[in-house]
Amino acid sequence: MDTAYGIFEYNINNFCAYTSYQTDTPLSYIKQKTQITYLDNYLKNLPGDKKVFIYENEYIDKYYLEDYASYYAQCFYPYKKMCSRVHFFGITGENINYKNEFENFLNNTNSLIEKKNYLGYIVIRPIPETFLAKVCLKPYYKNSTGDRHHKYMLLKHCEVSLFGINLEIDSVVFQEQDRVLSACATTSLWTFLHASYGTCKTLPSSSAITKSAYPENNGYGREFPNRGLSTEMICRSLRTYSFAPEYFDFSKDFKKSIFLLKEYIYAYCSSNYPLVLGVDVKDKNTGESKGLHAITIVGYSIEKDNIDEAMLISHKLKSLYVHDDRYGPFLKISFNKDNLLDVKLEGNPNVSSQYIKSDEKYIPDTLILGLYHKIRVPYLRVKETCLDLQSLITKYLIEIKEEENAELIKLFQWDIQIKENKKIKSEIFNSNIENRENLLTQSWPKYLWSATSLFDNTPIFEMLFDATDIDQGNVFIEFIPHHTNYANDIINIFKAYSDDHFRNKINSSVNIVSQSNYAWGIIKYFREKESYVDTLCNLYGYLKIPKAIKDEELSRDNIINKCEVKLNKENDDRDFKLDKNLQNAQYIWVIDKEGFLCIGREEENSRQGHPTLTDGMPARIGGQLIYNESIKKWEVDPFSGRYSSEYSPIEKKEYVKNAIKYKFALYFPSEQFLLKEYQEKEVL
Amino acid sequence: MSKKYNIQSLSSLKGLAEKIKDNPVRSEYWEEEEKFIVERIEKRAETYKMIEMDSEKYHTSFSL
Repeated sequence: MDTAYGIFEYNINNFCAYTSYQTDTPLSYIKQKTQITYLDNYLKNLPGDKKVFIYENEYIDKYYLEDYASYYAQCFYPYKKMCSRVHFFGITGENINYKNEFENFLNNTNSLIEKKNYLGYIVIRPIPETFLAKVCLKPYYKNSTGDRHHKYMLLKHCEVSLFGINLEIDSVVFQEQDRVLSACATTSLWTFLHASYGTCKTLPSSSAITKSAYPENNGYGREFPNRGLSTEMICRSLRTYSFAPEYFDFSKDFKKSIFLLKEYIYAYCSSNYPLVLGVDVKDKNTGESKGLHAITIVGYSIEKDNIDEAMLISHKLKSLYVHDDRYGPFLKISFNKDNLLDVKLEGNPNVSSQYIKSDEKYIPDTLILGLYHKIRVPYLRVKETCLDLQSLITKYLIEIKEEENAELIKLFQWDIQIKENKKIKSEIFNSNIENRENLLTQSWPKYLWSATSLFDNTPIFEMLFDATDIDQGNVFIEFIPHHTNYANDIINIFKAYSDDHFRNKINSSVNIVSQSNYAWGIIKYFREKESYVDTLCNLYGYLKIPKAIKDEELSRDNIINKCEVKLNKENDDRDFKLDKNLQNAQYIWVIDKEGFLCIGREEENSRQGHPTLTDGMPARIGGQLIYNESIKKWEVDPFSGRYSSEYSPIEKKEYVKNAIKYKFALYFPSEQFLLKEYQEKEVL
Repeated sequence: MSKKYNIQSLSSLKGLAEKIKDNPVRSEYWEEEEKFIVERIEKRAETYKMIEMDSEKYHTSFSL
C-alpha cells in the first residue's frame, strides 16, 4: 500500500480483508481461524460502543526481524521483512469522521480518539496463515486492591509509540505460533518471559527461545521447523533466561493431585509469577485426545461462595486466565465438577458463516515454574508448616479439653504467596499494625514466603519465612499481627504451647523425628524471643546508640572510659561500694546492650556523661544515682539525654523501676533505692 | 465457615494461654503428638511422590 496508515471503524470484515492483503492469506482461511473469532468476541467486550482501527502499513517488529534473519530471509520465496501493526481505540458517538478525528489526535487538539480510549494493538507478520505476531490488548478486567481473593490478572506496563504519540497499556503480550520457528511451547515461553520481565524490551524472539531449548551439538531432531518442546527443553530455555525451573507431573493420578495444582497456581500466580501449564487436549464430545499442548497461566478467579470453607484459599480456585495460542489472550478456562478444564469458544456468525466454535476439555498434565534463582524454599514446605502448626495447636487444645477453641483454630484459613521485602515493608508502613517501627527496621531477605491466616475473611496474622534460606535453615522470620487483639491472643497461645513443648517434649524421652518441619522453627522462635532479647527490651527498653557524643568525651580519638563497675551477677565486683559522700561529682548509670548495669562518676561541669560508661556503644536506658541524706535512700532517675530521651514518660518510669528491682536492689542489698520524683521537663 | 462462628467468636481465645500454662498436658501426650505428625509427613510424602516426573514424561513434547 502506498499510504503510511489508514483508519476505519472496526468490523471483522475490513480487519480480515486488511490482514488477508498483508499476509497473502485467503480471506476465508482468516475468517475461519479460531483466533479471529476469539479476538472479535474479545474486542466486543472492551470499552467503547465502536472500535476504531488504525493500521500502520510498515512496522519494524524486532522479534519478527530476528526470526526473519534466522529463517525467512533464507527462503527462496521473498518474504517481506516489515510487519504491519493495527491499533484499536474504543469510542462512543454518531456520524464520526474518523479521518478528521485522527488528524485532531495527531495535532494534539480535541478528538474522540484519546489516549485513555486506547485498547491495544496487534502486530501482523507478513507470512501466510500464522500471522498474529504480537497481540497486546487491554484485559477485560482490571485488578483492584484486595482482589487476590476474588480475581487476579498478572499485568505488565507496556509503552507504545504511534506516530510520536505515547500510548500506554497494562497487559501481557500474546503470540500465535508460526509453526516454523515456534510451536505452542515456544509461544507459551514467550508469554511467560514477558509476564516475568518488567518490560517488553528484554523479551527474546521466538527463534531465540526455541534455539535456547536445544543443547549445543545435540542429538535431537532439527530445530526448525519446530515440532514442539519437551519439559526438559522448556527447563533448559528457562535456565538460559536466568530462571530456576521446577516441574511437576499431574498426569499420574490427576484427581488425587488436583488440589496441589490449584495450590501451586494460586501461590505463584498471585505472587506475579506466570506458570507454564501442559495440558492434554480432548474433544468434549468424542473424548479423543488431540495431543499435548502448552499454555501460560496469567490469572485466576476464585469461587465466591463458601470461600471460607476451604483450609487454603487456593482450594477454591475456579477459573484460570491463560494465553493459549490456539485461541488468544486471557482465555478463561474453568474447572468443571470433575476438575477438568472446560474450554469454550462461542460461535460468532459475524466472523464466519461456518460458525466456528470450539468445545474442548483440557486435562492438566504438567506444571512448569520458572523462578528467580534465589527463591529456594519450596511452596510445599511452607504450606506444610502452616497446616502442621494449626493441627498441632488444635490437637493440643483438644487434649486440654478446650474443644470449642480447638474448633475455632481449625477454621483459620491460609493465603500463601511470595512477597518482596519492599512490598511487605510498604504494606506495614501503610498499616496500623502494632509495633510497626520494630518490623520496619528489621533486616529481611529480598524474597519471603508470606502465610496470612484469615478468619471469617479477615486477616488475623501473617507469618514470614525466608524464601532464600537453605532447606535446613531456621526459615521462619517474623510474625506480623494484623488484627491486634486476636493476633496477640494467638501469639500468647503459641508461646504457651511452645513453652510446654520445650519443657516437656524436648526434655522427655520422645524420639523426635519431625524437626525437619519448619513448625519447629516457629516453636523455637516463640521460646527464644521470650527468654532472650525480648526480656531485656521489655524490662529496660530497646537498644539505641547515644543521641550525641560530646567532644569532651573523646581523648585521642577514643571515647574516655569512666565506667567504674559493670554488674551482671550477684557476685560481680563485690568490693565495689557506693560512696554516699561523693564530693563535686555524682553517680551516673546505664543498662547496656547485654543488660549489664554500668556505673561511673560524672564530675561537676565535666560534660563527660553516659556514653563514657559504654564506650559510646548502644545501650537501653540510663540516668543518675544520687544519695538523699534526708530519707537515707538512693534516688534513681532516667536523666540521660543520650539514652532515655526517646521513651514516653510512662516507659521511663517503668524501666527505671525494673532497673531498681532487678539490678540496684540485687547488687547492693544493704542499700535502699527508689525512683526519684520529678517533672518530665527535668529530663535532659 | 459455619454460621455458628464469626470474627467475634475469636474473643473466646482471650485468656486461653493462661489456662494452658496452668494446665500442662500429660507426659504421654508428646509421644502421641510425635506419632501424629510423623504420620502426616509420611502421608504427604506419598502425595508428593505422585507429582514427581519420570524420565519418559520429561522428554515428551508439547506440540499441538
